[in-house]
Amino acid sequence: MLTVDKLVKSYGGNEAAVKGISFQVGEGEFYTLLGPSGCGKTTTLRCVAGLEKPNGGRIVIGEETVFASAQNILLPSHRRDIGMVFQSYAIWPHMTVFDNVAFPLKHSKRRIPRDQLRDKVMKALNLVQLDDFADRPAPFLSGGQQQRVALARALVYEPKVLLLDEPLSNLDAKLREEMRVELKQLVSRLNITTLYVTHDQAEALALSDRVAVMNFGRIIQEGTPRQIYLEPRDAFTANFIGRTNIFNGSVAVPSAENGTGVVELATGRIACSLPQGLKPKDNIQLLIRPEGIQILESKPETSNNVIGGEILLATFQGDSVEYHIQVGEQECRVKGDGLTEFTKRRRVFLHLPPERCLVIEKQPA
Amino acid sequence: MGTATQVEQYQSVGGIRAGLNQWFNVRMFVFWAITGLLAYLTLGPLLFLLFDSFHPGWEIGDQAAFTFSSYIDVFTDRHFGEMIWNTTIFGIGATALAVGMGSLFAWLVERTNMPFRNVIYALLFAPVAIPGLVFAISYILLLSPDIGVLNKLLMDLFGFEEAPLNIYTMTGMIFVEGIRLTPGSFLMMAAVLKSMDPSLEEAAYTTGAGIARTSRLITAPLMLPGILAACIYYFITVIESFEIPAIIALPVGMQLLTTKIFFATHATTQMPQYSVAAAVSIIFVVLSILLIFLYTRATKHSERYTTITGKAYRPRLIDLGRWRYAALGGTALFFTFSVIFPLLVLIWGSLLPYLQAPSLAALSNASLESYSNLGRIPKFGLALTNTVYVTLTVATVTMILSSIAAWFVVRGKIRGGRQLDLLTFLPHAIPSIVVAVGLIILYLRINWLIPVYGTLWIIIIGLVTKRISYGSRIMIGAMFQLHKELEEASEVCGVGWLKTFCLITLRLMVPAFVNGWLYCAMLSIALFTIPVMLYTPKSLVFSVLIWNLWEQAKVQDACVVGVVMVTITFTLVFFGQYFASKAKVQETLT
Repeated sequence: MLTVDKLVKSYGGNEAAVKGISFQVGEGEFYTLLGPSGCGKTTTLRCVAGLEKPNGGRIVIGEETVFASAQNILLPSHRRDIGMVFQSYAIWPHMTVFDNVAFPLKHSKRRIPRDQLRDKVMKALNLVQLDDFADRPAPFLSGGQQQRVALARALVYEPKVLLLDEPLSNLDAKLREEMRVELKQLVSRLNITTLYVTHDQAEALALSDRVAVMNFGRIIQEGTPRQIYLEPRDAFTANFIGRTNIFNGSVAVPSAENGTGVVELATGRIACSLPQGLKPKDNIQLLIRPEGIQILESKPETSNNVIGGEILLATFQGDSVEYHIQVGEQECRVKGDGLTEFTKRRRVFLHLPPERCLVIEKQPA
Repeated sequence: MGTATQVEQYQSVGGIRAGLNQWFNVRMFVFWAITGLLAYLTLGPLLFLLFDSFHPGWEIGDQAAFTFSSYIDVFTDRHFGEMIWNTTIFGIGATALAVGMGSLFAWLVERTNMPFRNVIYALLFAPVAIPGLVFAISYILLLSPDIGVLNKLLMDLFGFEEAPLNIYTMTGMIFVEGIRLTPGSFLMMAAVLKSMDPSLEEAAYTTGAGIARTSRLITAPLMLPGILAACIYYFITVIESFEIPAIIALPVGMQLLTTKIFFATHATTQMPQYSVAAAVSIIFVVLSILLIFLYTRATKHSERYTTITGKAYRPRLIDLGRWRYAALGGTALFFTFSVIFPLLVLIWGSLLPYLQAPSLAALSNASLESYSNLGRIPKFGLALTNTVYVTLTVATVTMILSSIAAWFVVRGKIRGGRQLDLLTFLPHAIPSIVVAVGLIILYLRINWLIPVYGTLWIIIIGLVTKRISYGSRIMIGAMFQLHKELEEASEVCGVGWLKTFCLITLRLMVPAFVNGWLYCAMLSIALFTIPVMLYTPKSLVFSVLIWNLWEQAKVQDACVVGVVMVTITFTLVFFGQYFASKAKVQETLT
C-alpha cells in the first residue's frame, strides 16, 4: 500500500537527514518509525506526506507513484491520497469542531454534496466519540479532544494511508495511555494502512504490526515488536527499546551444532546461543534485559551462568524492585519481584538464563 | 512486468507535468509576481534617480550626456557645509532627546513602582496619532515669537519685553521632533527591557549592589545594544523627516538635506532642478543605507543579551520612595507638552478668526462657526474625497502585498526568499522625500507608458512603497506566530496552496492584518512628505491642504482642517489599539 524506496533527503549542504531509507507497508498494516529525535523519522513521514521535497528515491502510495527522482515525478501534498495527524494537532482555531472535520470535504477535490456532508462528518466524529462537541469552537477543546478532532479530520475522507506524527507526545502520561488504547482499537477496526512516527518505544511496541528502528537517517532494524524487543540486532536498538544490560566479553567456545557456545565475561563464563561464524577470542557483547536476570540469595549448586554482585541501590516500584548491582567493574540493572527485597550492600548471585541472553558481535566504535 | 512499466511510463508522462511544475506552479507565479512588483516599486525610482543625477534634463526627455555637474553643483553650493552640519545636529539632538526620554520612561514603567505606570501604555496612542505636520503647526502657534500663545502668556505673567522663546531655531526644531518621536522610542526601549531577563538584575541585588549601582552596572550595559539600535533607527528617522523642517526650517531659510531637496524641486523662483535633487537624494540614500547597515549589526548582537522565556515573569519593582511622585510629575509634563498643549492650541486656533492669547476677552470671540460650513474652505471637499480614496487604497494594497510577501519570506523555502525580505525592508532605508523625487523622475520619463504623473495614483504608489516595510514587518511577525502545521494540515487533506493561503493563513492573520491596516491608514492620512512633493491642484489631500492654508496664512482654516484630521487619526489609532488587544485575547485562547 505504501512503498518507500531509497529515500534521500538533505537540507541545504548539511549531512543528509534521511540516507536512503526503504520500507513497505502492507494494506491495513500499522507500521512505526521509531527513533530518537533527529534520526530522520519525521522527515521521512513528511516526505511521504509531500511536505518536504526529497532529494532522491521513490515513494508509491497505493498504485500511484507520488515521488520518483528518476522520472522527475513529484505530486504536491494536496494531490496525495493521505490523511495526517500532526504533532501540534493543527486544529484551526477559527472554526468549530464540525467545520474542522468538514473542511476537506468542502474545499478539496473530494468535495461532496451538502446533504451528504453532515452525515459523513458526524460519522467521523462518532468514530472518535466527539458527536456532542460538533458545534464547539476549536479553542475550547482539551488536548485529548483536539487530538480526536485531528484524527476525525484525517479519517473523514477515507484516505488510503494515515500518517501520524508523534500524535500522543503532547498529552499527559495518563491520557496518553488511554488514547493509545483507543487509537489501536480505532485503527484495527477501520483496517487502515498507517504510518506512525514516535520516539516512545512503549507506544511503538503496543501499537504496531511492524516497527522500524531508526538512527542517524537509517533504518537499523525492522521487525515485529516482539522481534525488535527480544532480538535486537545491536546495542543501540537494545538500549533504545527498553533498558538492556550490556556486558563486553569474548568468545570462549564457538557455537556448536545446536547453536550454543560459551562466552568469557570479566566476571565469569556464560553459556548461551551464539551467532554462527564467531571465532574464539572474537569480541562480543552480551545483552540481557533487567527482567531476564534472576537474583539468588546464595550460590546455587550448579553454578552455570551465575555471576556475583553487590547491591548498590534498591528502588521499590510497587509491582517490582529495581536494583542497581555492581558486577565486576560495571553496574547492571535487575528487576526483581516486589515481594522479596534485598538490602543495600548485600552480596547476591545473578543467574543469566541462556534463553534470555543475546550475543552480538561487537562493532568497532 | 509489462503492465508495471506501462504504469510507470504513464506516471512519468503525466508526472513531469503534474510533478515538479505543479508543485510550484501557482506558488512560483505568485512569488515572481510579488518579487517583480516590489522590485519595481522600490528599485525603479532609485535606478531612475541614479541615472538622472548624472544626466540632467533626462527626465523631461532631453538628450542628456553623462556629467557630474549635478554633484558639483551640490558640493560647491555655498550652503553645502551648513546643510550637512544642520542635518547632523538636528539628527543627533532629536535622537538624543527621543531615545533619552524614551529609555527613562521605559525604565520607569517597566522597572519601578511609579504610580499609574500602566496607564501610560493606554495613553500612548494620543501622541502617536497627531500627524507631524499638525504637531509642528501647533508648536508655531504655541512658541512663535510673533503669535505664540505660550510666549504671550509668559510675557503677560512675567512682564518680558519680548517673546522669551523662539521656535524658529535649531533648538526649537530638536525639541519638537524629539518630543514627537519619544513615544515610539519608549515602546522600543520597553520591549528591550521586557525581553531582558530580570533575574540578571536580581542577581546583582542579591550580591548587595544597590539600585543605583545595579542600574548603572547591570541594567544600562545590558540595554546598551538596544539603546544603540534605537539611536541609529531614530537618527535615520529624524534626518529623513520633512514635516517639522517644512514648517519650522523652511520659513527662516535653515538648510537641511530635506529642505534642499524640496527647494530644488519646488522653488517658486526657478525651474525645478530634478537632477540636483536626485544628486542630493543619492547622497542621502548612501548615508541611510550605511546607517541601516549599522542598525542591523547593532540589533544582531542584541539577541545575545536577551532571554525570552515566554513566561510572564514579573521583575521585582524598584521602590522609588518619594521620587515616584516626581517621576509621575515628569510623565504628566511630557503628556502636557506632547498632547495637551498642541491639541488645545489647535482647537483654540480653530475657534478664533485670528490667533490671540487665551483670555476672557478672547473667549468671547470664540465660536464654532468655522465648523458649521467646512465647504467654505477652498478645496475642502476635494481634499476629503482624495484623502479617503488614498487612505483606503494605500492601506488595503499595502497589507495585501505585505501578507503575500511575508508568506514567502517566512515559509517560502524558495531561493530568493531572502532577497524578497531585503526588498520589503529597503523602502525603510530610503527617505520619503527621496522616494518622491525618484517617482517624479520615473513617471515623468515613462508617462507615455504609465500615465500617473500628476494624478492621485502617483501619491498612492509612493505611500504604498514607503509603507510596505512596516506592513511586511507586522505580517512577518504574525506569520512566525502561526504554526506551520495549521497550513500543512490543510494541504495534506487535499486543499491547494492558494486556497489554503486564503482560507487558513490569511484568515488566521486577520487581527494582525486589521491592526496593520488601521495603522497604515492612519499614516496615509498623517504623512505629508510624499503628498506635498507629488501633488497637483487636482490631487490635493488633507495634509497638503493644511500646508497650503498655512502658507497662505489662513491660520484658522489650517487649524480647523488640523482638528478634523486629528479626529480621524485618533479614531483609527483607537480602533487599532482595540483590535490589538482583541488579537492578544485570541492568542491566549489558542
